[in-house]
Amino acid sequence: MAAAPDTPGLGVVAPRPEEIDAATLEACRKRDRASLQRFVLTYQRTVFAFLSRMLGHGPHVEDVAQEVFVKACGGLPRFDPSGPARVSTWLLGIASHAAIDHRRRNRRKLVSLEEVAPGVDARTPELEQQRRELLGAFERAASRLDDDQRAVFVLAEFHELGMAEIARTLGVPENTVKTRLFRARERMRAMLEGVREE
Amino acid sequence: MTLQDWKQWPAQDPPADFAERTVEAMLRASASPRPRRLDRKWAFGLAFAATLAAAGAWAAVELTRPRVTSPLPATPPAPAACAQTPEATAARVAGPAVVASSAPSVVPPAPIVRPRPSATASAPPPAPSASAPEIRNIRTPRCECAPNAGFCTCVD
Repeated sequence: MAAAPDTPGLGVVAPRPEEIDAATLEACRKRDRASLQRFVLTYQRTVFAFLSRMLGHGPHVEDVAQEVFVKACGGLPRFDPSGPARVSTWLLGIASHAAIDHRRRNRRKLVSLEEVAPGVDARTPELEQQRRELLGAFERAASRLDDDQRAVFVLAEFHELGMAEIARTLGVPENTVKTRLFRARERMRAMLEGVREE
Repeated sequence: MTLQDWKQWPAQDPPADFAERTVEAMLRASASPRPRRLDRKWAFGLAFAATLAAAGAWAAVELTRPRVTSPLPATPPAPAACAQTPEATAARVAGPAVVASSAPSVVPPAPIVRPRPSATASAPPPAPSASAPEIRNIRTPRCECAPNAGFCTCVD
């Protein structure tokens, strides 16, 4: 299956956002509206990409994403731009905690792709059907991962964060990240074996 | 299917007006004072600490307070006219009529001196099993004493 990077929202690794510059960040701290808007526009796709893979597609993603940005706005004065974490990594950390909290609160299962993703591109019906089946299988497999494993897996596979960055983002030791990622990959591989044979 | 296919999983895109609405929410949240809401674990922690402090204070007060032994109950003074004289005893045995006839001259009543148990007494305490029931059975007689008779009529 070929990647379709040009199609909005379709797959692929989330592009690393251009990090916001220090001046804009400083203006955000002072609650400058234009700077805050730029801040949100810069990182919203990253946050949505992460949350939709953690929580499944749906309107709840928007709610949680807004919660993430509001929390980030409150935490901006404490964020050190000269520290080891980039703004995007820091924001993904907030998003991962918010997603895990949301899942624990609602015990929400992943919404199946059939429910939420109407045809996103104009391929032939057969190809589209095949693609949807394939992605449905991924959704079902991913829904069986623990929240922690899922967060590590999504961050590693889709946001291309290194072990150290994921460890910093989630606030866990690096070895824990390695273990979770290994187990998540193993489980995904095992669960997708059946799909491959079909 | 390989794990590389996983990368095709579509992400949800933000709606067009998301940034605008989010900025409004951010500004609203930063403008309104944050309610000071105690987290549940902090509330439990505070309650636990308060309980500990109260218990500690109570224990300190109880342990440092000097122990005051309760004084012995004062022995009720025997009625002055109710003397345990031989005549009174005889009258109690024989009855009021006999005693009245044989009443001698007035004898000043002797004060009753009861031995008080001393805390420093070296004598070992009596065995509780044998003597305790007898002590409990002692009754103080009720006495009616005539003003100048020198004797009393006591009823057990």
